[in-house]
Amino acid sequence: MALIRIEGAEKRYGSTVALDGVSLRVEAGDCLGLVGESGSGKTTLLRSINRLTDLDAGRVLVRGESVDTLDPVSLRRSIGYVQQDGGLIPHWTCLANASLVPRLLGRGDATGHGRRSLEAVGLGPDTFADRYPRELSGGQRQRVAIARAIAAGPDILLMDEPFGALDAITRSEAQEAFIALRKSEGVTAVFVTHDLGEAVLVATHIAVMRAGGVALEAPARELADSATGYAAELLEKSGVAL
Amino acid sequence: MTAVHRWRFFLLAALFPPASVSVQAQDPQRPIVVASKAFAESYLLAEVFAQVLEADGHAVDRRPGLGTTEILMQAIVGGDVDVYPEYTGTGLAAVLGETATGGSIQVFNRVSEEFETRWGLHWLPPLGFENTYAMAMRREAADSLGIRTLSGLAAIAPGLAGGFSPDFIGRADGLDGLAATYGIDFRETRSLLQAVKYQALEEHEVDVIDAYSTDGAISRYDLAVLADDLGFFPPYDAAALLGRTFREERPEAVLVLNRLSGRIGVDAVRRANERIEVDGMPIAEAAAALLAEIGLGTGSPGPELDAGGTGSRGEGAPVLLTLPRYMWDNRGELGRQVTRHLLLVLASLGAAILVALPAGVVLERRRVLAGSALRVAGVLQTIPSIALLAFMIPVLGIGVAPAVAALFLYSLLPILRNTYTGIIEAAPEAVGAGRALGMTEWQLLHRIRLPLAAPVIMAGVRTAAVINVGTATLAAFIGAGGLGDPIVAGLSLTDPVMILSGAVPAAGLALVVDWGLAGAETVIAPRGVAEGRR
Repeated sequence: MALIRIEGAEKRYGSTVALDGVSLRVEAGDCLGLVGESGSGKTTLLRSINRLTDLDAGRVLVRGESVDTLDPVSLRRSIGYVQQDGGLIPHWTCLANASLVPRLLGRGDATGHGRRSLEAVGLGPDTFADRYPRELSGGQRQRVAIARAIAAGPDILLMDEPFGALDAITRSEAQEAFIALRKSEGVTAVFVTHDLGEAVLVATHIAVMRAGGVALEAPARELADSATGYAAELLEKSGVAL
Repeated sequence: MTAVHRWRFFLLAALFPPASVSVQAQDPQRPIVVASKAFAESYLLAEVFAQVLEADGHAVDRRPGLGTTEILMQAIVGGDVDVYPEYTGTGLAAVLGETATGGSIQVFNRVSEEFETRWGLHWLPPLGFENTYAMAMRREAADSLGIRTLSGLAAIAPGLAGGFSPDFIGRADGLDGLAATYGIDFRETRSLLQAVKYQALEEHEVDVIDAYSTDGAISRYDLAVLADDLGFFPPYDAAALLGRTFREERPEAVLVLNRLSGRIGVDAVRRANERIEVDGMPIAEAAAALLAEIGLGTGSPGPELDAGGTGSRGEGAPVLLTLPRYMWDNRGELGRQVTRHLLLVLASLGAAILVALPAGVVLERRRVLAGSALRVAGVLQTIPSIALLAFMIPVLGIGVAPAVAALFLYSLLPILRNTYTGIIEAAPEAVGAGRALGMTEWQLLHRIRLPLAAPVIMAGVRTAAVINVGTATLAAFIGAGGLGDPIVAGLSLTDPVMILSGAVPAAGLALVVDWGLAGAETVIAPRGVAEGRR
């Protein structure tokens, strides 16, 4: 059974169409890369999965249940989320940030969860636990954001251009760390990026979006075979050799 | 001017019926509220009233220097003041807007009748002296120009500058009427406070001023008083004006005040005024001396009416030398004024925080309303302090309540604006991430937004507090006390040391409050961002 199923999703903002009847499935253990230019609707689609955005038409099913029927707060607590600028809470330490979701869920050993997830993203808790976000580099901050997203052990992880603001070297390190982490935790992920190369690297499946619709959908490895039209253009732009 | 003046007064009286009368009526043992206007003779007469009442065993609540005729009329009509010294001519011209026909007795009968019918106010028979307006010039100027009368003044007025109290310029029986009657047209007319008028005349800044005929300063500065040869100024007999409930409920106290009628002669008053204005005798002592002279002495002057404590005029020593000494001598009174001042500020500030902080939070969630709410608070801020304070009187009477209400309104904007912007600007990306991870709106508010906005909100509180410490000095004009008391009293007694004894502590208080709240800002700033936000 697909862990996430999107059926005929539609969304407009005034006269702008953000989603124009999108249907997609993400199987447990997969990582879907949503690729597209700004305004293609990829972020809107991502935010509809944990109800940060409510659809005008169509529906989203998570673990077989329509999200409309679920309480948004508890739905969000069960899904990890990482955004481009990290969004760490500036007056909380790394450990407090990483322990956020276990604490929201009222888990007994919230900081224990936080420490383990800092460990999992390669930030030794002894060194980093008591640091504040502004004392970290950009790459370290994104790792804390990932640690925060996975601390409560969610089965789904949503990532909105998580490495978009990093420099090239830090970025490739972060990508490697994410790939390793996803393998070890076995988490299902949706990964939004405008960089097809990155998507091919970190995702198992790829959906290329254009103007609110899915222009192309394929397993990452097969993408080279479908390299026609818009996908070819994107491939060319990204300069990736498949 | 007459019509406008009268109209404004009646409008206020009609719109705001006396709210506090019924409350006070329930307690016959409450102190008798004795008020005065803000000039020496009014202080003196109010103190005389207070002392004879106290000698007869009545408790007295002194409200010296409460304000202008308009403010006192509102207060006595509203039942907030029981008795204050008024002049028949002022009642006739400034309050009723009529011109005099006849002498003292006719004017007294006229105001007695009208005040009784319209507001239930009662004039006791006059005290026994008249204090009319007088146009005064430097003696040598009057002599060299050969002017003795106001008709004579009219001929050369286009070459002269006049300096008059704001009250006189604005009144029907003041400058406008005078100019019309005599055809006087000054080259320049300046509005000068009592505190600086005589000095301005002496230093040739102006050539003619308005003075009171019983003024101690007329002899002090050796001025020439011009004769009112066309009889423009109505008779100004001083008398006690009584509030309605006071007269009905405290007949024994009214009898005591009545004993003063016809007893205070012009010489006795002029001497007392001189003692106050020239010798710097405290008002309480001057009043006691006056009572002793007319055979009603009590030997126990009440200390409070003289807002600054003992008089400050020494042997002409520089202000900077006499000020510390004066402040030390009056440390008890000054301490009470500082405490009262702080209480005014804290009460208004506390109320403003309780209202503006939640309002700022709500506005952030209803941003459509934010623009108009901030504009309204902004407009409140632009109302001149003294106007806002005066406007509070018909609504809340005199004393602490209207002052706190006005200061409260002034505090709203800085706190509201800073709460609103502080919350909007508090790490929006962290708020977005927190929401995406399942924090509720309440958790976002009290765990992320408010802690991050705290330094900004505190800065708003700090701004409001410093503004309030300054504005609260004006609260003395409506009887709220505080450090404005010596400032107001000093201004009307032309006593710079007394003024400074209120102004210097007020400035110090502003600095201390600013410094203290700056410290609080540092403490309240969340760790981890403190340096980054500075």
